[in-house]
Amino acid sequence: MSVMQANLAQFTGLNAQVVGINTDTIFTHKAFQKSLGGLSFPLASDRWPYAEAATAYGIFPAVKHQFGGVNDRAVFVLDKEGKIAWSKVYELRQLPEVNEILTAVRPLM
Amino acid sequence: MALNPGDRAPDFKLPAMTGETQGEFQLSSHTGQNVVLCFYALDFTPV
Repeated sequence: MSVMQANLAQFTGLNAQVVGINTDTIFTHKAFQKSLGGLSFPLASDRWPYAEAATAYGIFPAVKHQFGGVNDRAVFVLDKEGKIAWSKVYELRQLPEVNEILTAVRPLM
Repeated sequence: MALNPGDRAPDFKLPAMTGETQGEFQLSSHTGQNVVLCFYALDFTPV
């Protein structure tokens, strides 16, 4: 998430709203963003019904790892009409490459 | 099976924290804007 924060101005400049999402609580999110020096984009809590959003996007339960109870790591780039323009599911410990996400967003502007 | 490009993005409304501010994030209220949804496993971990 800190990588997204470091590049947030570029996403904002492309009319793109960034949001982080997992099944942790908003109180955990609050402490987490603080530990990263503050995040200025939302962290959503997909907690109840548990992992409902991740399930709708087809990334829960995770298939890339055996760590129970959490969603896969994945990025979905959505266009202005709410259609998926680009997506990638990552290995659990693989950090998304910000440049490939920016490359996916740029033509949508 | 994860959704793919061309699929409609399912709407959701969830509690959200922006910095220290508690609120909600509803996907459909961002129509007209591109959105980057970053799913990750757990806070406070490298995953």
